[in-house]
Order: sequence, then structure tokens, then C-alpha cells
Amino acid sequence: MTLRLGVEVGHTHTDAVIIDESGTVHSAAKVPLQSLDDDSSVAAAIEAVCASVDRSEVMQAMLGSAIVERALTSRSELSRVGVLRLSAPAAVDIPPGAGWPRSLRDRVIGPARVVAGGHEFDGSEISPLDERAVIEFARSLSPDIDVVAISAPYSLASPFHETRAAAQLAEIRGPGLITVLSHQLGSLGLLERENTSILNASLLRVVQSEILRFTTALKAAGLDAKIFLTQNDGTLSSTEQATQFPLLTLGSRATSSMRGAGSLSGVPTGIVVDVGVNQTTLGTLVDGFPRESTVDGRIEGVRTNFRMPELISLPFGGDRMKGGAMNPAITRSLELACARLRTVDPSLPVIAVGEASSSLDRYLPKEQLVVPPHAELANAYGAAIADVSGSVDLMFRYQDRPRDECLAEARTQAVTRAIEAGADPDDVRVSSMTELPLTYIPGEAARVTVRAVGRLLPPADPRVPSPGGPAADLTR
Amino acid sequence: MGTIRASTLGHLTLGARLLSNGGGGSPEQSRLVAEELIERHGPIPLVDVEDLPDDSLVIAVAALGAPAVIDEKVLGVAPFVHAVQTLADHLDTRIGAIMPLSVGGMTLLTPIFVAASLGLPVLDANGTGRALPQIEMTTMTLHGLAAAPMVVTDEHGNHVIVGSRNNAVSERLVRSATMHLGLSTALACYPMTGQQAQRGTIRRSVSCAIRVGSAVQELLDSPDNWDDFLARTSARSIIDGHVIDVTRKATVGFARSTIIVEAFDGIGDVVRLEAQNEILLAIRNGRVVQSPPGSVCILDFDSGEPLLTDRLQQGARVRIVAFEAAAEWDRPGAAELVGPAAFGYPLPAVTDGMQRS
Repeated sequence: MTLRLGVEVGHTHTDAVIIDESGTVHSAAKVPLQSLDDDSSVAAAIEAVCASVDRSEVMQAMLGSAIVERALTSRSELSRVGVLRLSAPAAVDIPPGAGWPRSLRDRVIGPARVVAGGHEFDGSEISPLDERAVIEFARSLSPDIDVVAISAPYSLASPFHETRAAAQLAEIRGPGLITVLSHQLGSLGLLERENTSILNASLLRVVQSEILRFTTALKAAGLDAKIFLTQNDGTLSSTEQATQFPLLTLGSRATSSMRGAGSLSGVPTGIVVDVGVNQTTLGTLVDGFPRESTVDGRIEGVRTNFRMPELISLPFGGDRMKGGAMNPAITRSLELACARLRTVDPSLPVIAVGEASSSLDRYLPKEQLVVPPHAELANAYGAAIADVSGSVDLMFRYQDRPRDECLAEARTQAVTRAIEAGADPDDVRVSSMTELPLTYIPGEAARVTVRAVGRLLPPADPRVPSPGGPAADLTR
Repeated sequence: MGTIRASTLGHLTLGARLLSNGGGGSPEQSRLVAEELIERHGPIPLVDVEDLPDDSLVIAVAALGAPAVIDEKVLGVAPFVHAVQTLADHLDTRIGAIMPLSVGGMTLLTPIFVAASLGLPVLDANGTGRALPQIEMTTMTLHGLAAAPMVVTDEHGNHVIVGSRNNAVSERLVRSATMHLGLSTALACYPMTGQQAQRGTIRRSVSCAIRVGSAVQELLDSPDNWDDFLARTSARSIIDGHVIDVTRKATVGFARSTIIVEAFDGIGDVVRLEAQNEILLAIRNGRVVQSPPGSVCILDFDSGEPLLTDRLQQGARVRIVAFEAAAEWDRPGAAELVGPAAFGYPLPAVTDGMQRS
């Protein structure tokens, strides 16, 4: 039997569960956090859930952590990022970091330059890449800048200038300099993609040290498990992916909790109410995944092209809901929040999870309410059961190639990426697909985004370490 | 006469976003450019058409191309200044004021680029009052004013001058030019005298958009004050409800969609919205209740945020509102130029919930 460990480091508690491949919970623990820098709660939670299982059977460990949120709100551990935009004479009027909150900009935006380069929608060059300007920029960087975000128009279709500039930076500054290329994690919209890349770059070190802490805790508990981190779309990233794209873990805890709620209750579509110690979060689950917000993704006031789950946060939790007199104001705001999230179906069930889920039946009608087993550990459970995914964001011109062929290619690419990320080829499926015709672009251009998800395959043999396992990344 | 300051830009952007009828390019991008320019050059006078000398040259500007390309290449200041100066040189006349061609998306903010750079005022007027997809769809055309000569430019300093007596032909010529110029271009058009602008433009429409934007901001701050919003903007509520269906059709060049909204009580009205990038028609229980040149706009029910049609999903909670067409549209020929028939719907024009004779 292979087991999975799910760990969620929250603001008040660290939760852990151990489940098997069928999703059955073997052990569970909840350990209060003494302080935000408290590593001992992670160790204690892991120790508690491992006491009753065979540790050699725990082969995969899923970590959900609030570290990225905390770093962004506190601004404390963020790296200063060099910014290179390859676009001139286009996109020269808005400097990198424009429109950001001042405190974040001052902390994160390092030396920034806009140089000639970038591509048009049809693949031709806006300008040839100004390699001399890239070299000059590389030479001018002070030694304390060890990460640079690079962006260019249409790099999603034509990444060549971004990769060339990255190679030049590496040549001059050596392997100590990390580059984040916008085409690897963004979608259409240059400034939003650049913002996403810069924020991501500023978080690389934060997530590296979080993975290191978790690795140490696993080792100390005698576990040799491959580590995964939960992402905000409800799927997992490997440590290699997470160290490259830490921003994708932002907001993952709410998603894990919602997915855990759906799976524990067997109710794939409903409203999830996660009652924490002093905060309650509500969202809508549709076919096992959180519904996304229709409003533009902003992170700490910065415009990005990130899609986040639609969530409502209420400023009270178990602290004011358990015991004592019932507070009618709490009932009202819970009812209102549920009404906001109800889709067309007014009979949608409400799944209660979290720390104080058992007190919710005092506030909401019992007949609609589902309180699943292990409700108080839904987020650690959601982390442990998470799938892996692959997605693509592509532009096609149907005049050049038949539409069916283009859509099939997009699907295949997404599925391939999911399998590369560790999905079971027999289980992987396309979970969402959107096709938007691009206004006024000739040749019947359309933007196609596809996401494929699948169950994470258990490792074939735990004694044969998989390439790029946890030990390998961290010594790199 | 008013002033556009850095602090005005937030409201102007929100107004542009709402009045784009769920379509249009991103006004947020142009706002960042405008902010840089106002910081550099100071506030910009916003003048009424009566304050202009009769023979003063007014030029309209617009972002032209494909929103998805403009979002990638970030249309900036130089192409606009180049377009306007080339047009003024071509006419051998000094420029008096710059106005936005329409209030849709980023175009509402682009006059600020030129006005700041060249030290000119922005004219408190535009030619549409809503987002419309073609350059000839303006009150200026309705009042017999020529869109040409016009100049379209790219970021490399290339330009094309277009001349035609027919505004629809000018549109076709300039549209094909923008494809060759990379689909992220600046347009300078409708050169006219102050006297002509007085006759053919929708007056005080920039300050109106700022006012609408400030009402949106108040709504964002306190989403419960919906009645205040309606009163302040003179908007008419069409429906508050859930989006129960979104159908998108890929047609050449346009994102056509049909959005069905059902009232919250589940037993009341159903409103269908027909959009071609922008929302064009609102149809309640089978009856058209708003059509162009009147305006249909969409807001997030809970936050008050103006929404874009291409992001809408089933289950979204929305408010749909209508704004009446400006009085300048009230003239024979308007239905043929911008009414439902101009967009391929075999329907009579409707505004204020009433069919026009």
C-alpha cells in the first residue's frame, strides 16, 4: 500500500492527514501554532499522524502553506527583482512597476530597462533583439540582484527573444542569476504578464526555504516521500515547478479546503463554508473545483492575469460561533454570503468544514447542511487528494490551419503537460476549455486555453528515487 | 471648463470601463500612460466646445486595432502625437483641441496623451456616447461631417493618410491599413472647426463619463447604495439577477455572444443580451428594451465592478443598466447608421424602453 501525507500550515493551526490511494483517512492531527515562525507544529503534526502507520509506505507528501501570502502582505522576505522588457519601440511609456502600491514597488522593483525586441501577433519581429543593450543591462546589475524577470510582446507564441536574453544574462552573470521568463507562466496581456513574472521572481527564495523546512521535517520524521505543493487551481506542483513558479501556490489553502470538502462529503457541487478560528471563508464548488472569480485578478493591488477562486471572507469564526448565545448578525451575514454564491440552483447544499464546522448548524438550516467526516481537516485532506494538471494558452489562426486541428493540438498539449507533471495517463481528462475569437485580427484568430487534470500516479518504487526528487533540487 | 488631474483619472477610467458596454480594450493600460504624462506635464484643461474659437481645429483620436494586440504591445504616446501632428501638417492648420472619438475602452483616455505632450486642451465631447465598433458610427457622420482626411500610425513612425468623402469607405481603408501596421495603432480623424464640433459632437460627454466613473467608485465603496448610483447617473435598471447561460459564437472578427440573465426571485423577468464584443441589445421577455445608440452596461452585483462580456460565466450575479442615447443621436438616419439593423438584427430601434417611430 502507498500512503499520502497532506499537511496544511495555516494561520492558527497546522493540520495533517494520512490517506491511502482510495482516499480513506488512516490518521489525522491538528496542532496549534505557537507563532507564525513556528516550525515545531509541522514536526509535531507529522509525528502525530505517522505514529500509527508504516512510515516506509508514505511515499508522497503534499504541502499547503500560507507562506507566499504572508511574504506578500508583510513584504518582508521578498527579493528585489531586475526587470527587462524586450519591446521597444512598443510598450515604452509605462515603466515596470507602474500602478503598483508604492511600498511593494519600492521593495520589489529593482533596476528596470525596456530594450528593443519582441514579436508581433503573426510571429514577425517588432524589432530585432537589442543584444548589446541586454549585455549592458547584465553588466550594470549590482551583485545583490540575483533574479531578473524578462517579458516580451507575444512571447507566448514566440518565446525566442526572452530565452535569448536569458541565455545572455546567464553567460555574463553565471548560474547564480535566476531568470523568470514571462511566457512560462503568464497569459495574454504584456503588463499583467510582466507583473505576474516580477511577483513570481520576488518569491523564489521564500518558497525555496519553505520547501527546505518541510524536507527537514519529513527527514526528521523518518519519511522518504516525494514532495508536492498545492496550487490555487486545486492541483499539485512538484518541488521543481514550485521553486520556479511559487506564485501559483498563492491562495491554495482555500482551494484545498473546498476540494477536500467536496471529496469528504461526496458532494461535488455546492457551497463550501470553511469556519476557522476567527475567520470564515465561503466559496462555490462546481464539479469538484472552485468556481473562479469574474473580476480581474489583483495580487496586493497589482494587476495580474491570475484567475482566483471566487471567495467571500467573513471576519468571524469559531471564536464567536461556538457556545454561548446565538448572534443574529452572524446568521444574517452567513445567509447573505450563501445567497451571493448560490448559482441558479437555490437548493444547492452547504458543506461545512474547518475548525468550528460543527457549530454551523446553529446558524444555517440543518436540512441543507452537510458536515462530512473529518470536516475539521478538510484542507489537509484536500491537499492529500489533489490531482495534477497541465494547461496551455495559445493563439491560432484558423485561416492557416483548420479549427478542429488547432483545438486538438491544444488539448493534446494540455494532456501531455499533465502527464509530464505526474498524472495517470489513464485518468487524465480535459477539465476546461475556452475559445475566444480575437476581435479585428485577420485570419480568424482565436485564443484557446485548455486545462487537463488527472490523478497523481503513485511512484513506481519508493527505493528508486525519481529524477529531480526533493533532495536533488535543494542541493542544486 | 474643467481640469483633468491625476486624481481625475481613476474616475475617468471607471467611467470608460462601464460605458464600454462590456467590450473594448483595457482603459487601465492607458490610465497608466496618462498618469505618467500628467505627472510630467501637469493637469490638462478640459474645455467646452463654446469656449473654442469657431475656426479652431478640433481633432478626434482613437486607439485602433485589436484589443488583444494592444494589450500585448501597449499602445503609447508617440503614435498619437505623430498621427495628430501629421494630420495638422497635412491640413496646414494649428490644432485647437483634441477629443476622444468615443467613450469606449481606452479611447476615452487617449486624448490626454496628445494634449499633455503638445500642451493642448481636451475637448469635453465625443462622437458616440457608447462603445461602437466602426469609425463612421458617430454623431459627426449623422451631422454630415467627414471623418477624413485621417492618419493612422504605428510605433515605428510609419503612417498612412486616408482620404474619402464617404466615412464608411474611410473606415474600410483605415481598417486595412491598421492590419499592415501591426494592429496596435493610433488614429487621428474627424478634423473639424469649433463651429462644426458644436454642431456634430456629443457635448460634455467627457465630464459625463467622469461623473459616471465617480458614481461607480462610490458604488465600489458601498455596493448597497444602488439607488444613489441610478439617481446620480440617470441610468435605468434593466434587471438584477444571475447569468443562467452564456453562448459564444466564433464569427470572423467579432466575438458574438448571447447572455441570459434571470431575475433573482426565479419567477420574474428573463433578459437576453446580444453582444458583438459590446452589448448591443437588451431583450426582456421577448421584447427589445434597449438598442444602440442607447447603451447597455453590466456590473458585478456584489462589488459594483464593471464587467467584461468575455469573462462572464454562468452563475455570475450581475446588474444590467441602460443609458439613454445622447440627444445628438435624435435625428433622421440614426437607425440606419447605428441601430439594430446596422448590426444585422432585423429589429426597429428602441430606446427608453419605447419603440421609436
